[in-house]
Amino acid sequence: MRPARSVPEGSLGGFMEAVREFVVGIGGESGEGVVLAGDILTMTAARMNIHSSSFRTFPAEARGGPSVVKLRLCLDHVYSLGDEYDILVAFNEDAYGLHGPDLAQHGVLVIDGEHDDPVQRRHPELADRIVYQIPMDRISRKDVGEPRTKNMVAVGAVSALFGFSRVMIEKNLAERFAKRSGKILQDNLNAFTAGYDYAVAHVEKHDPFELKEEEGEGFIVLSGNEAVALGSLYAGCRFFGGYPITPATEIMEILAYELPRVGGAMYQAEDEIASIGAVLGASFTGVRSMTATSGPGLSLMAELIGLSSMGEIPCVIVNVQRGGPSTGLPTKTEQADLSLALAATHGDAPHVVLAATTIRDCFEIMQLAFDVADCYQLPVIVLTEQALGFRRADLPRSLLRAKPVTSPLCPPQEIVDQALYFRYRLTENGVSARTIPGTIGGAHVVTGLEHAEDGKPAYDPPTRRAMMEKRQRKLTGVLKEFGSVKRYGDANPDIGVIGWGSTAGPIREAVQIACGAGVKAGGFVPRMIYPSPNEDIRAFIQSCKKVFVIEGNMSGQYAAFLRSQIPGFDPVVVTRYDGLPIQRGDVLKKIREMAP
Amino acid sequence: MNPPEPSTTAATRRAADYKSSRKPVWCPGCGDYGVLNSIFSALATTAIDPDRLVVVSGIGCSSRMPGFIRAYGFHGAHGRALPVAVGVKTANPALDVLVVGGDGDAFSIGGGHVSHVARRNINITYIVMDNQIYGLTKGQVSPTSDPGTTTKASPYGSFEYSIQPVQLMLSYGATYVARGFSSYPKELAAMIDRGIRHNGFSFIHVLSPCVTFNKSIGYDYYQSHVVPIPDDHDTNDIWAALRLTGDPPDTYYLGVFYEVDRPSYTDMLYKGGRRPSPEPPIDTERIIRRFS
Repeated sequence: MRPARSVPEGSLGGFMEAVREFVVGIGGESGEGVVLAGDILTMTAARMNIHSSSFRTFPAEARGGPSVVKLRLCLDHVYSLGDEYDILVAFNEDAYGLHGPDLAQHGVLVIDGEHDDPVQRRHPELADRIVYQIPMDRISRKDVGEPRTKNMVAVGAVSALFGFSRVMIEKNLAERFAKRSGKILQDNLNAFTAGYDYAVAHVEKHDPFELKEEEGEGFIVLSGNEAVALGSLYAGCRFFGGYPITPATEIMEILAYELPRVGGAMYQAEDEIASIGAVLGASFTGVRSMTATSGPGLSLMAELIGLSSMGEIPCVIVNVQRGGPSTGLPTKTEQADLSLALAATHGDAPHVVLAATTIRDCFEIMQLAFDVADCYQLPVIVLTEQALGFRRADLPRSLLRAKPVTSPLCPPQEIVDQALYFRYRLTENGVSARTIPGTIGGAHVVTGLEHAEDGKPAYDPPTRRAMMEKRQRKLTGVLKEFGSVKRYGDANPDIGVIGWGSTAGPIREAVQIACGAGVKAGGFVPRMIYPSPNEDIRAFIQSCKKVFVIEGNMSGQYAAFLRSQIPGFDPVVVTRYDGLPIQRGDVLKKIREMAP
Repeated sequence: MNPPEPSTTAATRRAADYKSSRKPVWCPGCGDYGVLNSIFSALATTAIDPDRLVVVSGIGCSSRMPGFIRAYGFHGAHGRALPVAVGVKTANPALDVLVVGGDGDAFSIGGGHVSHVARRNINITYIVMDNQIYGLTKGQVSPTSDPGTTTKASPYGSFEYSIQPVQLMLSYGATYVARGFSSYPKELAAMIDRGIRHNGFSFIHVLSPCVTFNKSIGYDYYQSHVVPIPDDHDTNDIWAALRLTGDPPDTYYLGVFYEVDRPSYTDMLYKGGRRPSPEPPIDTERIIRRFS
């Protein structure tokens, strides 16, 4: 491959040297292999030690409709997807029509088509843009003889144009198709080579975007869902009960593969109610157990979340939020299940709500979730989002190399004196000794009825009060022992941003950019939403001149919750509810607006 | 020197060993007393270790039962006893799991679960005490109530056809299906005992009158409508079993309708002998390779 050549200044918008950080978009019809193309490029970047963050969207239907992958490549770790596309790869003109408006002014369009039929003819707005036409469709049909390899022709061309390692892609293809027929691998390799060679022979590169392999052992690449699944496995989860629902299904699928390898079990139940029922049953036996679902599933689980709280059975529920209400936007993102998670069930039922902030956090927060659930014997809801679940990012190998932590928080199996053993003994911190079936002398009855210390149903007012208070007391300990928040940027900001969940990355980058531009900005993102780290929140608010809350729902659910937690706090609220994640640009825009 | 006294073993278990300190809260004359006693004797016969026994229930009069049995108990949510029991058995197949409840719990709110637990052949024993009425909510029709049943919530008489639990469970693929009557505790205990020993899902339908809210379907009614399953019935023959369910409400056959050997869910799941444990080895290098 030729190196990036120096070209006349005007045509490159001032870039003279190779630009090694950029955002790529790949758009096409669902079924054209957009996601696979994105995956291969992401994985190749990771093997080249280039940091990345990628995101895919696809239609709610199993087939048909537009599909897009966004991939940000960076020499430093990235926390958001960036904004516009520097490079847009369009498998057809419809995809250009859909995503063209997001192509940066200095951007490059790589599009299916013949040289002698310039796409600019139909799209005058492209007249001053860099456009590379690759006859993806023709090459796959005529040269490869397999129209389904169009995506690999594109990957070949993109590799040649922008420096994705040819060797690593070929290796990746060989691994990916190892279990398929030899013809499939050969077709894909042929298509890749044909696309690559075509670009080398026919395209005159005059853009600055060029990757180069960096030093290192290569990164692992995980989606948020994969990170949740592996995080659970490493945190000692050995039972998963679930029911398929977009966008959470992947968690179940990964654990279906991994759990049997460590003696655990994945149980695909008949519905979400049965899923969480089975999780409670398994947890009752002392096995760390979880379920994962999305909005509608969480609604169905509500009743048994109450049982988990009342019966004091540890339980972890991951909710990969999608657009609601009802079936809503099954494949799009939203942060609108917060109110549901905070209420969770009927009655006053102490439970914990955590929100994962980044892909890495999707992994790490599961350890927190299981530890909190086990230590305090209550339900823990972990909120993630489609925007996290389907995003992928590079992570250091050391993350998975770390020794799995499975703190044996269940009391050890020892003989207890039945006469002295009360399952629901009133204690200072609300936590009572828990025995699991098989423990001699530890027999007790878990019940959703209000009960006395021995578990016997009891409805008298003093018992009721004592038990309600006992369960509620746990939250103090949870917050003290496990509460955790993240703060970014200036220590005494003029403009403070509070967000939760996936807004953490965009907030972090926006704050950094704003600070770089001379605006004193600061960001605050709690990982533990409830119990609420009010002292930290108050300290942050007091350190700022002005504060706004940004979140991905229409009514400002977190802002409303904060108003209830921090008397007198009445923040400006920025919301987004179009199915797309909050981006760094959304945060920056508001910071600029509010800046002095 | 004499060897130490053996702890309670198979030979020495007595029904009383399984009695908890709690007294049942049922109405005097409730059929469930008889069922509880049958469970005590079946547990004694099977000599199950109370510390390794888990009794799971949902909500309803009969679902209070875990409190009356000395064992680990799980008195959960209405209709959700079976899913909980599945979790218990799957996470620790060494435990003996007994599920108890009523007709509403099993076939109304929990109706969506029974088929799946049956087809999966989860190795648990499910005892449904059927009184053809909702007792705990003070007398409304249940899915097993006869058409024409008059209650406060069906003042003009119900016009819905009732379901046949035994027929359903046979159709769902349950591998052990029996019916007992709470007035015949010895026979019932034998059915429960056999159900506990059965490797796979065992379902025992028990006619258990509600003397408070369903007076017309009481002991006398059942006495005159129950018939023992003929001695020559082949319990391997699903069609013969189904034929025996064809006649209610006129005839209730009592006994074992069907029993067949099929690997249980956990037999299949843990084929390699592995079991969930807190610290099994994770092959971290393999996982790293999988994701890089």
